[in-house]
Amino acid sequence: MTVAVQSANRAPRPSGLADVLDLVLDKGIVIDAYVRLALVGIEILTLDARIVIASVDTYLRFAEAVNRLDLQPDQQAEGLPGLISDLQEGGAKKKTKGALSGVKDSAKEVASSLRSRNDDDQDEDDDDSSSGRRRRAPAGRSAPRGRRPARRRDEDDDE
Amino acid sequence: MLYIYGVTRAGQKRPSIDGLGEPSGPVRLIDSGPIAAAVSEIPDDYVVHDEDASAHLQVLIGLLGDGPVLPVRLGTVAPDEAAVRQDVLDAARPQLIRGLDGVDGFVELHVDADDNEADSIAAIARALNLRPLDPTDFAARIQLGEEIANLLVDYRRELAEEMVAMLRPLSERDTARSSINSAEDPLLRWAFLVARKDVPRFDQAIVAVRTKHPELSIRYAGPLPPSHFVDWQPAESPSEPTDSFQAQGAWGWN
Repeated sequence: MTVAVQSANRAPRPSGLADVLDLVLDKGIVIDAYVRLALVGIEILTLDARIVIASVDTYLRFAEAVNRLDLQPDQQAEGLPGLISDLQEGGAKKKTKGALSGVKDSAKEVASSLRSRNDDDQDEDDDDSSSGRRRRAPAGRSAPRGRRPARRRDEDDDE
Repeated sequence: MLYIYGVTRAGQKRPSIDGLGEPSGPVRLIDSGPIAAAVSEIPDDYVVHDEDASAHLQVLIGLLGDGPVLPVRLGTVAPDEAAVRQDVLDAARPQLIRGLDGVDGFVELHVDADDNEADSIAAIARALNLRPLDPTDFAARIQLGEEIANLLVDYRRELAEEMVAMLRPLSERDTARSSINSAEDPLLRWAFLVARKDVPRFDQAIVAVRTKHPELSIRYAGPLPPSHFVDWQPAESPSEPTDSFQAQGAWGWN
């Protein structure tokens, strides 16, 4: 191999404690005949699936993030593209859905625009998240880690 | 007291490492018939800590190098060798053998991916052609944030599905380790059960995924014990739920 290609970079084991616990804490053979040793200091995070509560904090944080963007009305053409005005009209549920169904299509656009970027600061974030724990969210990363995974994704249907 | 890590085939090579505990003892195998339990001595009053999870996993990974292993849950102990033979190995021998057969030649691989949240939000905002909101309009901010959150979830799901679709054909089974239900959930946490011989091909597929998505941070780990795929039900016995069921039913799987 003379060409330096991107490698698979397979780590021998998960790096974060949460991921390690996910493998050994509540998976595998259970022998009820024996009392397990007391488990101490193991984060409740991994012991119980928590209910996902989409928090207002998160929404505000996202809105904040949008506001911090340097959003220039470079295509200001027809004024607002519906979204904000719809939102402000209240009873926005349906309208918003409508406004956003067009956005479904733009998910691809989003993806490609992201793909073309290469951010330097990405690594920092990664280290943060590789612990498998929350990043910035104040209101609880609530992935039901370590529990039987909720199989509600579409792709699971065809199994 | 004996701390139990997992069940293997008898005659499998034991990992030459110490187990968990303070003081820790060498890991050894206790055979009974065709199967064996990997154990190490542990003080009677030992309390398991976070770090022990790591040692437990390390032993399982060591065992995995030489054959199939069924992980036993963290913190499981037995009083002595006889108990390990009778109550652990002999009590569920057929199921254990079946379990070992089921994962023989397979390993678990983990693929995790995260996007850069700020970049994703920015891209979504640009795709929507959003303009800044009046910061004093609290309700509008919440609604905007909620919609961004929904779009972020859609975006992540789409990416996760795409990545799983690229990897699934190379695996025997796969399962989510965490799902995307809200914008706080990670993009991808997935476990794949992969034939050992297919691991290099899976590596290549990971390279392809990375190449296709340089914007994502992708972590890849293994080979790991098949913790997410040891889910066979213990016995066919309870066809007649007699009193003896309780006596025999000391076993469970997850």
